[in-house]
Amino acid sequence: VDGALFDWGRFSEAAFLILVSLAGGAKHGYAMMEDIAAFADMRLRSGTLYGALTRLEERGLVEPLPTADRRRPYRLAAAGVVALQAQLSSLDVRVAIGRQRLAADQAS
Amino acid sequence: MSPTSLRGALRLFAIRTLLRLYPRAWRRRYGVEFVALVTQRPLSPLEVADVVRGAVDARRVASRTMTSRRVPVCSASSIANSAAPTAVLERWRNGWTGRRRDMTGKQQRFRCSFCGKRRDQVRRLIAGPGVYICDECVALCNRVIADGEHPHSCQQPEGARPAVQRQAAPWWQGWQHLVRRWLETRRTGHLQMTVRQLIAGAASSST
Repeated sequence: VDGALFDWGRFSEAAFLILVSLAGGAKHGYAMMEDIAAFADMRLRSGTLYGALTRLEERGLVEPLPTADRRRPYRLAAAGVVALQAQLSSLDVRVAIGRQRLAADQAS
Repeated sequence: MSPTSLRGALRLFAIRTLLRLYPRAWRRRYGVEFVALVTQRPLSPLEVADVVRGAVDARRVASRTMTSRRVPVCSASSIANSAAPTAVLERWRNGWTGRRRDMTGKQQRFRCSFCGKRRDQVRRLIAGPGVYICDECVALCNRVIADGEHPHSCQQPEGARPAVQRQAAPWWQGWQHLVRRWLETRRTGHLQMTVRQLIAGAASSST
C-alpha cells in the first residue's frame, strides 16, 4: 500500500472502512457492520465484509483474536495503523485540493 | 410443529448451503464466524447475492494461491453422487478458473466414473456404455450390496399379513421408511441434520 487507496476493486472501500472501524477498538464482524453503518451511513453486506477482511488479514493489517461465542473479534495490527495513516494522509491531500479549487472557482 | 421453527431450520439450511459455495480451506478458517454473522442479518436477496459473489471471489483467490489439488477418494458417497455430475463438482470444488493440470486429452476419457481415478491409477478399468468403473469401486459395490441384503418383508408369503392391517397403516409409512434409510446411509451432510431436526420437532409436538 503506497499511500493510495487499496487496489482491491469493490473491496477497497470496505477495507478502508474496516480499518477506520477497528481503529476505535477490536470488533467482530457484526459489530463492524453496525459501527460502519453508524459512522459512514453505509451497510456492508456479509460477503463484501469478509472479502475485505480476508485480504486485510492475509496482508497482516488486521489480527484475529480468540473466538468468543462463535464470533471472532479482529484488531488493528501495527502494519494496519501505518496503512490507515497513509490512506488518510492521501485523502487529506485530495480533500485539500478539492476545497482549494472550489474556493478559487467561487472567487473568480 | 410451529411454523417459526420450520422457518428457522430452513433458514439455517439455506445459510449452510451458501457456505458450501466457499472453498474448503476458507470454510475451515472462517466458516463458524461467517455463519454466526450471516444468521444475525436478514437474509434478503441482495444479501444472498453478495454472499454468492463473495464465494466466487474466494474461489478466484484460492485458485491463484493454492497449488495442490485434492485427490479424489473412492468412497460410498462418491458412488451415491452418481457418475455424470462428478466431474463438474470436482471442477467447482477446485475453482473454475484453475487450469486442468492432470486431465488432458484422451487421459480424461479413461477415468473411473465413480471415484475419478485415471486408468493408470487403478489395476483394472472396466468400460461400459459411456461410463467406466475401476476394480476398487466394483469391490466396494460388492461390499455395499452384501451389507444391504436384509430379509425383506416382501419375501413373506402372499397373504401373510391381513389386508385390513395394511390399510390401517398411515399413508406416510413408505415415505418415512425411505427417509430413515437415507438418513442411515449418508449421515454427514447438513441436509440430513436439517431433516433430523424437523423429524425431532414433529415427534416432540405430536406427543
